[in-house]
Amino acid sequence: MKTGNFLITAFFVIFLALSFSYLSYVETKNSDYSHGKNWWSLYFDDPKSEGLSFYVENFSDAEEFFWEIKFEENTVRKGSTVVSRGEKGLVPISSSGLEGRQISIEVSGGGDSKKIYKNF
Amino acid sequence: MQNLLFEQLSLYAAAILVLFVPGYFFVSAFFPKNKNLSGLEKFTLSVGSSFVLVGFVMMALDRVGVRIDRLSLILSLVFLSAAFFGVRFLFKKHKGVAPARSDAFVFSKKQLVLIIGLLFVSMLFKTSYLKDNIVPSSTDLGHHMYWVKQIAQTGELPDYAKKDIVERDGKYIVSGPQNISDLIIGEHMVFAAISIISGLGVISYFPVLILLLMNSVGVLAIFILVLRFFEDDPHGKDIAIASLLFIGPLFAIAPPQAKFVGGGVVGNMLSNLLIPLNFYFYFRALKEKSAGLLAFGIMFSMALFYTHHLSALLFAIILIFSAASALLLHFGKSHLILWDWAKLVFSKPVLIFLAFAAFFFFAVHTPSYITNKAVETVVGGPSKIDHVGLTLDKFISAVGEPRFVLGSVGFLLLLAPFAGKFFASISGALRKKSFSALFAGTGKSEVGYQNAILLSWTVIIFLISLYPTIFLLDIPSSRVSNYGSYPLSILAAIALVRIVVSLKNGNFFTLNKQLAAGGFILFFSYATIAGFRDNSQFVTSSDNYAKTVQTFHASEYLARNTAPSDNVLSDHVYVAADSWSKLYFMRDYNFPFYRANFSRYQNGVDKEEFCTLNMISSPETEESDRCFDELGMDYVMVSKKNDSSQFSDLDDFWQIYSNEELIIYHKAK
Repeated sequence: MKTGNFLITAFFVIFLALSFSYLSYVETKNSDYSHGKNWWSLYFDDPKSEGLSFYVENFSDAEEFFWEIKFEENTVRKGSTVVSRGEKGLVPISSSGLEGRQISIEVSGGGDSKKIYKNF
Repeated sequence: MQNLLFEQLSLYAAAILVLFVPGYFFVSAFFPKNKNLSGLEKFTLSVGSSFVLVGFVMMALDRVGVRIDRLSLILSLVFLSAAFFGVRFLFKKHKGVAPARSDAFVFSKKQLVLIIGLLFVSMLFKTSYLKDNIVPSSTDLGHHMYWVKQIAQTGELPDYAKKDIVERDGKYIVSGPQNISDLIIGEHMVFAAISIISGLGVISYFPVLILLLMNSVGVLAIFILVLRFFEDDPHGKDIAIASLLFIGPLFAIAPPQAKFVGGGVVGNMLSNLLIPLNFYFYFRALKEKSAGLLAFGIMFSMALFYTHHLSALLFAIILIFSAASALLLHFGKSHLILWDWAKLVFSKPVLIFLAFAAFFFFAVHTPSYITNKAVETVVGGPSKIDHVGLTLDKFISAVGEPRFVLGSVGFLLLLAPFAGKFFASISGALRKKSFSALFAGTGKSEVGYQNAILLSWTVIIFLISLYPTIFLLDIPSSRVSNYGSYPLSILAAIALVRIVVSLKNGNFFTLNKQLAAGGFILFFSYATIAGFRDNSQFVTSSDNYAKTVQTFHASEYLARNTAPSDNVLSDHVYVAADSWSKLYFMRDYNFPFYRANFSRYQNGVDKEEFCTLNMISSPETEESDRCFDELGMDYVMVSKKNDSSQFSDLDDFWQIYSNEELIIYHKAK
């Protein structure tokens, strides 16, 4: 006599597997830094030393980033760098000739700007 | 996509090996051959037994000094499964005819459609909720996964300890490791086993999926429990299906269901599978007078004590009250009942297992809350404001109003026959002026263990939630109330079925049949709508994962650029998924240090230091300066929107990292 136990168990496992597959697919997409997101980060290559080289790590639609090095509020150097989505770009900065209390790096891209700085 | 497919296959293979195979062969080998076991029960018990066995295996491996890695785990589980298969093969020849199949597990087509439909809708709701919470971010889950990752990295079971900021001799220091009493090994082993075997990291979807699996099998456990409870009842299957409604699609997300799955309330989730299985074995053991089943029950109780001490404590109290209730409700034959119990307890299977349990406890692994004497922290009466008991309103809200109302009706329906007999006995005793006449009639009926269990389960959860001082317990009241949803779902199911049957038979008191049916339909509609509405309020679209990944990115940057001697401070108040930062460093459970919720500094109990508060909230003050210097705090990670303004004008802080959500500062020396 068929009891239906096998059917219940089989459907339970199928529902679970479908849920697992769907949720893992969603998580893989959502936890990807780049997929469906629009942000970028700015950070020093070496946070502890007096070095000023920095990275732009891009997970946005913008690709061109404009940077300025400022001593106090005065721009002493500027430039631009191209970083594709999902990539990070190093901007090497030599600190020779740069002196002052606060040296900051301001980067703008995609309508947004960010700043990092070191105080000497 | 290919990578995801491969990961999925690895996860399924690991989950099957860890959470099905050993349990399947164990149940096949040791489940008493003269007791019937349906396919659905075998599946459910296989998952539960596997959970228990994997824990024993990992503790044993650790004890004998074998590294817990992929090879040792796979070999142990395969060897164990083969041994169980061998036992089954040997004993199969010596056993007689298998018992007749129980009608309780034979379903009609309509019933099958209903059961499968309820399971489907329940899974649909939970999946809908979890899709916005599958990126790991919850605080509790982050804390637990730290230990899981540690087991995977070191190949050893952890000592639960953490460093902390303390003031000693007028100076702030980072202490040596202090014992943590409320983490228990059973909460972490199965995740570690799956992570190690599959190769999946813990910062991924798999922890939540495993919790979803345990939650779903827990629902099946309730289903088979109710089927067994009401095996002899002509409407037993209807009650079980109605229970599935109340713990499946209705209130599918509210705690302790999907919200706890996504929130990583690990101990509760695992216990919600173990507790029904415990009751399943004890009930069948006592009803069917089976020592083998009692040994199974004791094994699952042991697993509960190794998994979640709060659940184990509650279960123990409920079991004691159930035993007392069974004796009281059948006082006329209590001496016979006690004799039956004694024969079961002092039987070969039970004594052999108890000996094994004692050996394991003393010689292999003692739960950390015993060695840390953490039991003393939960007895003696409430010490915190959220431990003093809930109001009735809050308890009803916690379990769901319709469940509470219908469950109360079910409770009264269960109690009514005994109350009726008792009052009849009182009047008889008064008439005959005889004390013993009080218990006349309590020795005649079959012992209804299911009534004793259900009544005690409900009463104990209710009393401890509202009046913990009665039991001199010091545990979070709202956490306890979450345990009420399971027994109340069963009682609500009883009420629902009894009312429907009464209406069909036309004997619903003396009310007009149409009126009664109409009233009932109204109430049932309310119950259903309330349950689904409760689901809908939790299923909201959320892009919190966008913030979470930025916390992960910032944590990765810090972990890459800090030395082992550098100290880092983060923030729990405004930084998303901050408890997961520690998994990028793996230096200590309490690293990075963090500013906790403000209330913890204000209640005078939780936090004794204020450095973690002041260093972020007011870094410019002398007190903060002292904290930074004495603790050697080098980096601070804070919310850009909420906390960066405190640091921007301070000369000794370098702003070294910036994304949309977070800023990291370095305290230059």
